[in-house]
Amino acid sequence: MMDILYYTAVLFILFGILLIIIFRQRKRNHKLEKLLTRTNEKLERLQIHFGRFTPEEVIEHLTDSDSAFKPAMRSVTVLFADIKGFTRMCDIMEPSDVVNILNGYFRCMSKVLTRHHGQVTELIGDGILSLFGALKNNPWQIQDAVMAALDMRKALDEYNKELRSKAFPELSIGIGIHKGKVLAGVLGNYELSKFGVVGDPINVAARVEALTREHNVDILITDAIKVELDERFVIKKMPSVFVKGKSEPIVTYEVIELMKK
Amino acid sequence: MTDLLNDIEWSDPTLSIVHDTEWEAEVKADIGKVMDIHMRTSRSPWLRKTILKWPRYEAQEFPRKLADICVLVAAQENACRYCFGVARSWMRLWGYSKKMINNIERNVQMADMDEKERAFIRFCRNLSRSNPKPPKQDRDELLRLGYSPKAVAEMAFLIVDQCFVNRVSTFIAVPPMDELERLPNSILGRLLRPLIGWKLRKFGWTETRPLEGDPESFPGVVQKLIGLPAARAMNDALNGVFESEALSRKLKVLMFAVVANSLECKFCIAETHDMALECGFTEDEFNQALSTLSSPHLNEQEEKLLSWTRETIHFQNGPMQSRIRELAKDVGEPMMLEAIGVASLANSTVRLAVLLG
Repeated sequence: MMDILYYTAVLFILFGILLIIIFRQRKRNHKLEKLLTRTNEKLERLQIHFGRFTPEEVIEHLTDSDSAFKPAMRSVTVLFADIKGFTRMCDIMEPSDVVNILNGYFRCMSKVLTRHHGQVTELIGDGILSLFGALKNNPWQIQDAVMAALDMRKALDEYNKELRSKAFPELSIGIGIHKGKVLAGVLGNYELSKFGVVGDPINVAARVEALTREHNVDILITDAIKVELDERFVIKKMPSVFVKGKSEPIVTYEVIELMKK
Repeated sequence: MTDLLNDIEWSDPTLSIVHDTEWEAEVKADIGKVMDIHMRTSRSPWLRKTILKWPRYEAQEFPRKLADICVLVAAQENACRYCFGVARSWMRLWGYSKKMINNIERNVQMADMDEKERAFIRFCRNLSRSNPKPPKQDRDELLRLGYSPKAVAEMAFLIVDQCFVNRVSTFIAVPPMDELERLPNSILGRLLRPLIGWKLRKFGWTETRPLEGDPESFPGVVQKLIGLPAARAMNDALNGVFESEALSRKLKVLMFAVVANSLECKFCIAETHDMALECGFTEDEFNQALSTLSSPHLNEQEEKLLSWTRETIHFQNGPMQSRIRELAKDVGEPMMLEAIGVASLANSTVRLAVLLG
């Protein structure tokens, strides 16, 4: 009789312990699930915010694969745009107004560039560095870049109307387009890195943009671009000019318009 | 769980409903109810048939559970609000738990699945996403894990089939089926779930007619599916698209070529090249058209549709739906609908070719 009671008590205790273990485990699982959901939500939020600093494709690549976005040589079309007379504007205007004007300008131009499959890679002061074909195969990158430049011209006209209505000075821009091989990928070290591009075509595009002031035009392209454009694009040859860092003079062409069918 | 659905950018429909009594009677006889998407695609005979059948394709070579998961994952990856809502509701009505669906969506905690199932989900996700290119190594992994080549071919077809439906629905911005989405959580839905689930399963469709003769359009792609009902389904859709007169053959060939070029599919590039020469392009004209997206053989409206085709490879719903609305005003809804069908099928065909080629 005592034995039965003893074993029953032991069984009860064991059963109790088992129940406690199951209960604790369930509680732990529940906690872990909650933690996982919260972490997931955090990651999703982080991805959205991260998207403002780095191209979406780079984020996708970094989050979906084990490999880092290692720099690789890619043939890209580089578009460099800059506001003419921006330094003077900074001198005579309230900084808050300058920032508002600049933000509005970046918003308009980014929209146009994205529509034409361009990647706004960097904002350097008032300059915009945009790449075509840096992250995805783009057989139409040259045409895209030139069409984007023509649409930037139109978008600027619209934006200037808005600025005029607010009694702000109008903006005038210069755009330089060139094609070549650049090193594109995540550059930097473990502590600090960013998606970026390195290569001579970037410098050439910037130099060509600077020539728009000399030639008094808004869109200039190099020979590398011109040879791949079809006859729908109306262009005009500019005098060759020596630029910093180049031993040969650069031949550029003004892009006038795209003829409609 | 509802967050994912609500996060998807979606707008009002880009194309209007067109009633065709004969067609609606046919749909009703087949599935018992005419849905919004069947009316919005009714103008195009091949497209409406494909849209009626392809979402219900029943896989023969791999378990039903995987096919169900595939529908959900493809809709999620393609961010198709309409298809995602439908797939999620169907899965609930078929008896899958909310938790399991949630885990698949979040791509986490799939410990209750085996390695083959997890590899399949990865395959679905990557092929649906196809960014930058369909992943051939995922297919090899499935073969290594023991799926037969036929099963893998059918899996690939099922995914591109769903991608086709996702693209068409997204481009048209088909309104979500609110009633169906509410059903699994309603009292009626909970009570009658087995019955509704069984009824839904009865809508499944599989092609029973064998493929007769040699495939005409993209024979290389169709041949990879021989022995599966998918071969006939793919062949009929491709024949339908090229026989349709709503868009010129030249434009359609160029649309396929644009997708092939963007996804760097050598097989489809060669195929479209031959098709282009057959329909009157010279070698130079074809190359010029591909490099400039403009051709003397196309009118202004057709050139706009050709330019738009490349945007269908990777897109965001909001800008894409507004672009289609704009374009539809310009080229007219019948042309736009046909272009939506052609571009969607081109994307599916080329992706399938890259993977199985």
